[in-house]
Amino acid sequence: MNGFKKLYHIFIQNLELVFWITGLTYLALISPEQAHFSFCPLNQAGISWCPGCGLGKSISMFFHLNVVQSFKTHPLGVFAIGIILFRIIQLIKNIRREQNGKHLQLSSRA
Amino acid sequence: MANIYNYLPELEGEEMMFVQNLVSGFDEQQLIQFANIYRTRRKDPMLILLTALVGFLGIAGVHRFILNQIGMGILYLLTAGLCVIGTIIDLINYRKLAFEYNSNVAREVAMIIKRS
Repeated sequence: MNGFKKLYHIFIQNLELVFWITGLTYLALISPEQAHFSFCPLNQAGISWCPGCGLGKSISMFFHLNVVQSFKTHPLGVFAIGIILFRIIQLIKNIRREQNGKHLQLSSRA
Repeated sequence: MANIYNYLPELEGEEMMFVQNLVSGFDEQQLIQFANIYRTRRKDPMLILLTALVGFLGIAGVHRFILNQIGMGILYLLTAGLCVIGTIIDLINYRKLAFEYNSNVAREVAMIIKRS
């Protein structure tokens, strides 16, 4: 019981990191060619002019090494992956610094 | 050890404990200096919450720009807050986001004070 509570606590503490990793992993595992359930409420509401439309599919294609299709679906797919990876690394760096004792007054911009 | 409440009463929770610990060796003049500079540079968690809420109105990611996360801000802006999911996560997580930013600011300011 205590183990589960600890896991839950870690989850809550690192909500954003869990979200990014889950998201990227999900996009890497699904096959973008098949029509599947869309998470986007804008998409389901019928809004077609969203400038970010297709990013999810684009990222998924890129993960499947379909670079040309990725750019066709959305040109900023790679950009999004880069940004998210950068953020994941930033968050992991924070966690590691926290574990090492962040009371050190060295100002290293995280 | 002087209580941080005397100089920065607006601090709460994690931020308060962190700053208290960071300036534990400071004398009064340093504390006043720190408080002055830190107060102008920190971002209030409430600001992050409110700007994240604006995401529901269509302009998402403003809070990320404020926290100097430009890439993330652009991503949010283009995707209406990652299909609103990102906005929701950030609303739950806003304190942590603010603390991440503020702790870096506090560290920098403390270093400046210590060196002068």
